[in-house]
Amino acid sequence: MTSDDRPSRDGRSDPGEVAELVSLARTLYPHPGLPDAPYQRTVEQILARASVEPALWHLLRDGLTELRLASGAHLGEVPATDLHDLLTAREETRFFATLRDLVAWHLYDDHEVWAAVGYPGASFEHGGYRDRGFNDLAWLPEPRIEESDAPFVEIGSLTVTPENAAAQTRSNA
Amino acid sequence: MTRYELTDDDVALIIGSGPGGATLALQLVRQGKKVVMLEAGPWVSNEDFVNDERKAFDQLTWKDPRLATGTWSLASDFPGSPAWMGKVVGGTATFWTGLTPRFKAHEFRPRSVYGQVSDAALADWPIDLQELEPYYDASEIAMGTSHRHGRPPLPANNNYKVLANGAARLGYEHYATGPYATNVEPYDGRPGTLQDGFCQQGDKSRAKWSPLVSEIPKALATGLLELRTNSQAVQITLGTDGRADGVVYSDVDGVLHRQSARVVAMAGNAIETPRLLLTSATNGHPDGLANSSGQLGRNYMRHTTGVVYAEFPDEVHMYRGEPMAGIVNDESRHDPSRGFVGGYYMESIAQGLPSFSTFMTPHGWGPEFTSKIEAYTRTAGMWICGEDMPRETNRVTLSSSLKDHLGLPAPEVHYDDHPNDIAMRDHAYTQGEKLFRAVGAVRTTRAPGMPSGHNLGTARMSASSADGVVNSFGQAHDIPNLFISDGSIFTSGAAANPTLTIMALVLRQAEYLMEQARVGVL
Ligand SMILES: Cc1cc2nc3c(=O)[nH]c(=O)nc-3n(C[C@H](O)[C@H](O)[C@H](O)COP(=O)(O)OP(=O)(O)OC[C@H]3O[C@@H](n4cnc5c(N)ncnc54)[C@H](O)[C@@H]3O)c2cc1C
Repeated sequence: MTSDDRPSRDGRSDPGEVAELVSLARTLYPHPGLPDAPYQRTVEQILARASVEPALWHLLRDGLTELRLASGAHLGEVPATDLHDLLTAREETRFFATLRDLVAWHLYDDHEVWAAVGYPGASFEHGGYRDRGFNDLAWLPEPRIEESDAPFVEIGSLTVTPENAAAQTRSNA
Repeated sequence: MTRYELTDDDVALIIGSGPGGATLALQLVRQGKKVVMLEAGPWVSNEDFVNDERKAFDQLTWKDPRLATGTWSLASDFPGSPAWMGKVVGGTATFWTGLTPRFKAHEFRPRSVYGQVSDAALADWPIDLQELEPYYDASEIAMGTSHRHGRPPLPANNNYKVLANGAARLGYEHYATGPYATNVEPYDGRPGTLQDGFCQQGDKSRAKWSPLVSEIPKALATGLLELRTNSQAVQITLGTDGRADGVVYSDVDGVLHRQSARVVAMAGNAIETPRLLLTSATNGHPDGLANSSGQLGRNYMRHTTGVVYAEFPDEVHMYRGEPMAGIVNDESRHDPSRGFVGGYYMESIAQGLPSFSTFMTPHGWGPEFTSKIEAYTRTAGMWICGEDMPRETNRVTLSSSLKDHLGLPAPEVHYDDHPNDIAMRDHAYTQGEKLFRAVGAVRTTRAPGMPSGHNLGTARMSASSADGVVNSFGQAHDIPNLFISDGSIFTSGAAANPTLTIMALVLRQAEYLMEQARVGVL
């Protein structure tokens, strides 16, 4: 996918092309607060894989070429909304499906993304959440944790009480 | 570890080390029987489990090629992954979550109670709840299930607080944090839960029950069990008398061996079990072993499922704590006025960010998708687990094109949603959304089913040999010393998560098997 149409041996591509793929990755999964770094790592992992999987390499090369022709520009310079439309028009292509799934796979396994979203990852080494907030939700009352002693209707309608009738009406509204 | 000769024809040979196989092994060795267990996967110790969804998946999962076909969403969402199963000592239960509801009495009689449902192969079980109750008790005690036999309830985690409050506001009454097979406080030599949230990745702390921390080490300690890991059974062989006389298996290097046996029990879970019996076809059993009824591989069930995710203005942090420690029972009743037969449970579900991104909207993209990702810490989840209809055409067959690393035909799992399944799922999605809206959800998402964790029915139990593969003890109608010891033998799916019932059926099977051995039939 380098300018002379050959992937480099170490799977790295020229910076211009990485920038194009970063733009596509960001268009697929836009997180305005995220810097380029995780998108960049995502693209590098995809290119590393493409460098040892000829079929993937061909698919990406052909897809990029076709997109460039369609947009008439280097993809890094195409406005995000236009890129979005270009991709939407190609939603049914194998290029799109492959790129989309690979970007999602790597991007959401990136620890910088985890941190930005607020997912802390491993917890065992920190003693789990037993003493670190597994039950710290305070915007709802503490619910019962034991099973109810009320009889359970196994066959037939729920017995209707005035309270649950009201609740049902409210939630049906 | 004890070693038995390959020619020792006095051993009981068990294939699979999950809840089914391990429960049988422990019962047999406790009564002095010699047991060889073949497990296709490796031994992975609790300390080697990893708190990382992707790495743990690679470490513990059965990843051999499979194919999903049919109208179910998996055929388009994840065509190579009809099911999510373990290939490791302890089986899928090394990463199960642990909810353990029992069947209800009428769920053993679906044909009688639900009546004729077109395009469904509903049948009554040849046993009833009363017969199974003592074995349910023993299973709950073995697992140390919360809320039962003096085990305390789990405390409420954040995801449960949302589910339970929503349930209460909707007028539901029967919600609780269990029964759930994880220790709250130390039990059976294992600690109480750390609420670390990693569970479907293997529980490092050993608080969660699995055969790896209970039945397997207990059985090994008797000196009567030989566990052969990385050993995949490829054929069950028959003697001239028509009885099973051994198993051919492939070791870690791909070298084949044959172990003789007095009794063979198959516990590979409901895809690999029919697959092995189909691959073992021979003269006299041209359509697969124990398949004179033609039912082998058919009536595959996997529960009517789906997930409702709900976004709130405030923080939830669903990833903290036991991921499925919450259940609402009210809709598990059979109430045809809802437009379908059978019932469903609403269960807490929590996922880490990588899994959430994969399953929340499979193959989703764009700004709406990413806005849901960004709401991750304010999201609660509810899993639907309902009774699906057995159908003869929903079945496991051998692929004519796809092969595994041994060159054996891969299993194809065909599943068409029954109209009853669709009606139930729609009802459950709607109720789930109402439940979460009742406590302030600002946005909800209906996620389709994930690769099936519950796999059932492909060697169904029947009173008559014409209608099914095994009798009520899991003994093959056609081959008296061949037993099936997993969820394949379910005649119907019921709404309950299946593992407690698998264990109860196997405890009953073990008693019968020992009795048959005592009187010299086996
Ligand atoms: C994420 C997840 C969560 C779950 N949560 C719950 C829950 O909350 N409650 C519940 O009731 N159930 C739950 N389940 C389901 C539960 O894990 C299964 O019901 C249970 O493990 C089935 O036990 P089994 O022994 O029949 O099969 P498994 O546990 O699947 O064990 C089968 C074993 O056999 C081995 N095997 C297969 N074929 C061969 C062969 N040819 N040769 C040698 N070995 C072979 C496999 O490698 C495997 O180790 C969950 C499942 C998943 C995936």
